Amino acid sequence: MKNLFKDSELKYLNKHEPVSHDVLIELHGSEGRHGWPEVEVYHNKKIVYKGLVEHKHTLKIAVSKNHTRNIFKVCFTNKKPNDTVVDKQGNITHDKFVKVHSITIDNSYIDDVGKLCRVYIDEPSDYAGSSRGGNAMFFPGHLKLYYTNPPLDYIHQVYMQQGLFDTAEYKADIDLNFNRAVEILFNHSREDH
Amino acid sequence: MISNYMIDITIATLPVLEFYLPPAAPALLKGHLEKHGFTCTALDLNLQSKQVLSKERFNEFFEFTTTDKEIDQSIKTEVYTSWEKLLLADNPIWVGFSIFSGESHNTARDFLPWFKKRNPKQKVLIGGNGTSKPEFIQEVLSSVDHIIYNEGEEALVELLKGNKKYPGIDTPGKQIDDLDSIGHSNYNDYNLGEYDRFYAENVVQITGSRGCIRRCTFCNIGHLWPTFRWRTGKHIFDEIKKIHQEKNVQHFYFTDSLINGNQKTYLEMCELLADYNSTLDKKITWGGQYIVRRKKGLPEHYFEVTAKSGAYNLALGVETGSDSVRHHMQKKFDNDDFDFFMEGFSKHKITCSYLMMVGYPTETQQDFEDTLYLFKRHQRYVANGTITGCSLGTTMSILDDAPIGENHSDLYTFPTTPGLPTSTRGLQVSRHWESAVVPGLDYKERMRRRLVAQRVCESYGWSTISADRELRQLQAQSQQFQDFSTQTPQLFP
Repeated sequence: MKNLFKDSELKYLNKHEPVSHDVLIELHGSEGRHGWPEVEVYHNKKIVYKGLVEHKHTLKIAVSKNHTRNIFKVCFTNKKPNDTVVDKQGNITHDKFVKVHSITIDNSYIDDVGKLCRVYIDEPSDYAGSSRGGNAMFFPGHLKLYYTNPPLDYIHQVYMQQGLFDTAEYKADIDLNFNRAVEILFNHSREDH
Repeated sequence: MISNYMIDITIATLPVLEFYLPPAAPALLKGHLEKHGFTCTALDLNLQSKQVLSKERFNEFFEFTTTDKEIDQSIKTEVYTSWEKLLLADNPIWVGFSIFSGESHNTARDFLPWFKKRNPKQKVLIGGNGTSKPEFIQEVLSSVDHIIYNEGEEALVELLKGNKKYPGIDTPGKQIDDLDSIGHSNYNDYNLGEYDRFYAENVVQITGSRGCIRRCTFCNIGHLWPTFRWRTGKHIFDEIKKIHQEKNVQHFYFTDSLINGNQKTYLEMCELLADYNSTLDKKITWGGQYIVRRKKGLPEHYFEVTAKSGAYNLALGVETGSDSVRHHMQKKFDNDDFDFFMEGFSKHKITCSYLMMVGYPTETQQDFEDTLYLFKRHQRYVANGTITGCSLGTTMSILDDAPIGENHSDLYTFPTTPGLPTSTRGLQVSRHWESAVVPGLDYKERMRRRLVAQRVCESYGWSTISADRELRQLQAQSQQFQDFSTQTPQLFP
């Protein structure tokens, strides 16, 4: 491999090393009877934001390359039972809730937040299971995002494309033909020298 | 007297083509001929060759089709007899072969004489873009009755009517200006489930336009189809809706050089498809080759309506990560436009793949590294699923009917080697050039860069589309150049 690459090209190979990067969390809030939702956001054990989410709020958190394992927690703290406003027909007209609309990790925009995150809600028994997935919290609880650094390698594994071009057989075929091509290239070079 | 003939024509493709999409030409011609009252069977002999042979024997056959390598005759006989059986099964008056490009020449040169010798009374014709090379035509002329040049729909109808004087029949053809006059494709003869699963479900190809709005230096589309013409958005939509309703096919792939060449037509199609999709539980998707447009002038709803219409797996002709190389290629967009496009795709979940080209004549080491850097920079789109992969190709070819072949001979030299074939037969001469402006950029260096690009892509998680075939082809070409260079060292220095 080293013979194939020129020295100046080696830096473009992914070394899978941790990198310093930013995480952007876009929160959407909905107002209930007693005002806007309040959240506390933690990066690992450190609190990085505490406050209201009025309509929309985007957090930008710098992650050092020293943080190899990262847990982000978005806690919804101020929901009360009578925050939900219901009309005479039983329809909800206003409700306090918070939604993680999107997360951008190292410039990679993800709005399928449910694919990356888990939601843990202290929900009433008649709602059991209804809000485990997705990206919204209608009850007090928290949403958790975990990844290892470098983030893009990790996210790619979560999103992993499963198609014709990702099968083990296909990759083995590529490797075989790659190695044969390298052999042809270098066998000839050796004869030259 | 009752004729023994059962159908008017059987139209078949010859290798080499991809194995993950049913070939469009026979299906399109079948649909068009049926519109004019003729009967037609469409065959994909490319796929058939893979199905009839064991894997090892198929690999041998593949090498023959791509490099004209000498192989065991029994392999060819096994394939050819299976093809012959299929071709004659419906007892057609005519057998037509679609020669999609120069990639099918090796097979056609070998198979057509074999077939004609065994079936001397069978009327045979060939057509397709691959018939544009006079030296190829000379080699197969005695094995065919007629050649249909340029766009074949109208000429083929006339030939079946018995009018052999129509332009395009053994003479240069004329362009079809009104693409809406062509019948809708008919894929009924293909078993769509037999194709490689590039898509999770069945997919068919359709054509929305011919020609291209660009004149990229490396591409010969402008030579083959001088004028860009398009079907109306409504006409394309009607075809998609018809196939969706009749064949229950959801996924469509455009054969066009670019789907979004005419922005007005493109947006009309997208809006109709978006409305139709809003009524469906399982949405229509469509993909194909797509041009990156300058961000200036894009309507605000461009990405949103593209996404809602079902855009999926668009193949972007990115070619390089270097602005200067792309500028020389006449691609007419830069990395700034491209990044804007990719952000739009990412935000609206429009998936795409990149078509790349390694070793353009002006590609310096720094330009090449700009391409490597692109793989790193856009890993973020691989990670979130926007990029489904990229095709790295088999290194740059100089096509003599492309602008670079016609107008830029100062950029490269071909080795003047006694004994080197002048035609593409056997040795793909078009690949064997050396840059006159970038010292050291010869075939061997391009091959090295191609292999480096492979490994860099993989390291960032990019899927490399068709890399198995491309590397096999690269390997076979290199071996061939190397073998040749024992007599002519300057070929593989």
